[in-house]
Amino acid sequence: MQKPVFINIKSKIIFVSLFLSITTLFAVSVLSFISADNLLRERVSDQLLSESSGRGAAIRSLIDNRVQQIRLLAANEVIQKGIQQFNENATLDSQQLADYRKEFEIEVESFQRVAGNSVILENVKVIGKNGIVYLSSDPSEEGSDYSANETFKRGTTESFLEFAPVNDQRKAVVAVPIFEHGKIETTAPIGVLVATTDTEAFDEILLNRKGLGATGEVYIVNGNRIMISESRFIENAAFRQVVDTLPVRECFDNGDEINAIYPDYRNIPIVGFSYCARDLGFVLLAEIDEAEIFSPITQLRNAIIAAAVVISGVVVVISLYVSRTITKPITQLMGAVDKISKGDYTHSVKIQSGDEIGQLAMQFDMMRKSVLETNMNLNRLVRERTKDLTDMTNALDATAIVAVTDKDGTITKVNNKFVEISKYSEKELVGQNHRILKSGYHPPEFFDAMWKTISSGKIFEGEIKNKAKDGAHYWVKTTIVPFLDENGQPKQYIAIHNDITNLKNTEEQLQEALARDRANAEIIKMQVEELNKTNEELRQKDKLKDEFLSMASHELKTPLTPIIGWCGALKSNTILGALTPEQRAAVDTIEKNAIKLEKMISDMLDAQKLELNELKFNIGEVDIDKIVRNVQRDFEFIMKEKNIEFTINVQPGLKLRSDEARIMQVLNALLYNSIDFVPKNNGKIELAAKVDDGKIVFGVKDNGPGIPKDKQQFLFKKFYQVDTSLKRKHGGTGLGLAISKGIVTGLGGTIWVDTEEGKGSSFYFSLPRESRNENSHNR
Amino acid sequence: MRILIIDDSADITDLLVKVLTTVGHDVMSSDSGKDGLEMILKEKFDLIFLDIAMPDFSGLEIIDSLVQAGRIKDSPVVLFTASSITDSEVNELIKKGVHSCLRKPVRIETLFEKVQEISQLPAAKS
Repeated sequence: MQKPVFINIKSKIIFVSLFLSITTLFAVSVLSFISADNLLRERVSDQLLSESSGRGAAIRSLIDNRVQQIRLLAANEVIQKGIQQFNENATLDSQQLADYRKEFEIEVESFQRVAGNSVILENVKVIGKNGIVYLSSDPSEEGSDYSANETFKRGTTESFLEFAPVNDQRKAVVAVPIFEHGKIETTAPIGVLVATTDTEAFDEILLNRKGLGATGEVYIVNGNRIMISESRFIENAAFRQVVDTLPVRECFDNGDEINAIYPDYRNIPIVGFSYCARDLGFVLLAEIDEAEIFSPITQLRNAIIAAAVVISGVVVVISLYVSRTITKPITQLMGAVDKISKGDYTHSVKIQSGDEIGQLAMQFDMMRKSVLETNMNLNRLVRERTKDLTDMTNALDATAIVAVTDKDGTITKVNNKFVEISKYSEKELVGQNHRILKSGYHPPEFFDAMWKTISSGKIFEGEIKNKAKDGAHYWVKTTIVPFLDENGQPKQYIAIHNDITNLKNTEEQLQEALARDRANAEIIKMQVEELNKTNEELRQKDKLKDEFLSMASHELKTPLTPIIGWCGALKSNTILGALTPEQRAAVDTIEKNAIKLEKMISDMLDAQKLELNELKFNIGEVDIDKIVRNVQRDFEFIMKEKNIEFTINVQPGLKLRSDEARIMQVLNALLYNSIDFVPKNNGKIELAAKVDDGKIVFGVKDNGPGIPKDKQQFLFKKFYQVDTSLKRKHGGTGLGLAISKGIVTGLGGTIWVDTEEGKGSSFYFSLPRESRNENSHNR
Repeated sequence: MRILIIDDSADITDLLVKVLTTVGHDVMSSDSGKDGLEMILKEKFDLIFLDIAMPDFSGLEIIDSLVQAGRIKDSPVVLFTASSITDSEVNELIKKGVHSCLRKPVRIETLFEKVQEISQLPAAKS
């Protein structure tokens, strides 16, 4: 920022006041000048124009007038007659001449009388056409030769008036041609009359100074640029003073009249108007000195300058007073501010002034008080915060390893814990770079990243392995906090470490253990893969076994079909004719064994499925009554044949959702089992079914030998036979009960036996009203 | 009734032909799946006993052919098999239009019952 140039208020006020007053004055002056100038010019122009044109016209008419008068004289009969005689007879006798003169004098006298004061004839000459003066008021002139005289020569051609010096007197000389009576202007003139007249009337017009102020004059100049009237400024200027000024040239060269400011014959600037009468051989000039015209303006200027000086003086005095009243309290305020800026807030500011400065001072004093108060509060706060900070620092020092470094990492402060863990003394550490503790464990990129973080003003957190003075390594969990200066650049760093060496060691051990475990896991994985492979092979073998079993079942059942079929055909008597009782018994035996074989095959297949948990169920509506009818039909013959008392005790109308064929299979198994075990005579089998506790309970009771307690637990095992001796009485594969258990369990029920050795056996199974089977493929 | 038996085992076709002819049915047989299919496509039967496992053209292929030809419902087909086809697989075939399934071996009474059941069906539309 540019430092402002010091200008005190006093100077500023004076400067501003002066500037304002003088500017105003100047503006007013300029305006006045312009309007006064315009006004003056206009007035002078009007005046001079009227003077020049008025007087010019007056001169012109005066000349015309005088020429006319003289022409009248020239037309006098006496003069005409006399000159005719003179022309015809140049040498008149003196008597005649005296007579003529007498007459001439009488005529001139009478003319003078008539003309009165309008013209005063001083000299009248009648000149003959040969240029010899014939008659003159001055008789001495008579007889003299005027033939070379300019006035005469011009007078033979026209009438005119010219100003000319006569005996050092300025005179208006009029020359008119004399014509023969009655022949005016048709023939050549017979002579010239030259009259010298006074200039009184002309001077009256020209020398009248009225309206021309102190320096104005009116004069006339002839074609030879010679002044032909008197000057106001130069004595005897007429016919001597050359006037070769602008309007003179304009008139005689171009015939123009002008009005302008130009130097006159005295070479003094004047304002002039011209009246050009070139035809009469003169130009009239009305001129007033420019200096006189503009003298009111000069006076005005002088008045303004005087006023300016006076006003400036007054303004300076007033502004001095005003500035003093303003600056005095400001100076006092400055003194107070100076004290405050030096830290002294105790001096109150007392300025008694009713204006803004007084208010400013008052507010300033209030500000001072509030700053004083704030300062005191701040001091208290700083004391409190310092104490807090000291407490915190003490707490930090007591718990953490702390180091302070400058912005380059040079240690400036360490606490006791730092000294303790690093094994260096404080003296050894301060002034050293923090790198002194570098263990070489971390790659350079680690520290680069750390520096990048903290030097950009961010907090770094990480775990660092350091090396103590004795070469021992220790791990610290580190937080580095950069302290920033006012530009946001780190000026120092506080590193707070916590010893995590034990943690790290444990972690390392854990890592090692984990690595070992990983290796073990790898081995286990390989073994599992091996096992899977073996399993796959086994599964393949199992599949082959399954395929073999189903193939075997098909291949075994197919030949059984014609065997059982033909047995039936033979037994029918109608198809293949009647059999003898022996034949029939033989066919029965064949059929019975074939059916047994078929049943065994089916049981094996079911056992296989049971083992593979592949027993499938076909759940549907099961009508117990229908099952009972089928059982009756299927077992009627065998029961009769074996002489068994078969009773059915089934609650009619029972229905459930289950697998009908499988229930039949279980009942068949249980019934065939009982049939096998009842005594040869008086065998009794009862089939029962009823609802119990929401379930349907089937029972097959027999009066067989019963089952010993120790064997009961194995009853439902596969291939289990109570009697395994080679001489065993009962056949069968030992699969029936195992399959039944599998079926009942699969249908959500339970199967059990109630038996005692010697007291018969009762097999029961209960089924839920509704069976759910996940393996069911039916709906 | 006109009955057709398709089974690759001559022992079985002979038995069924004999038994069913005896009770007065008009029984034809084929021991080849392909020939059997041709016969079914050529003429109408009141009942067809169809074996599944046959070397040249299986019963399942015959059923698929009939289904494709839209002829499966023309004659009631009763599967007559010794294979270990499961009940649910049988149910799938019944959905396709097969009437039912008899599992080998079978008692003659069961066979007669099945013939009796089919004869009581409303006459199939031709």
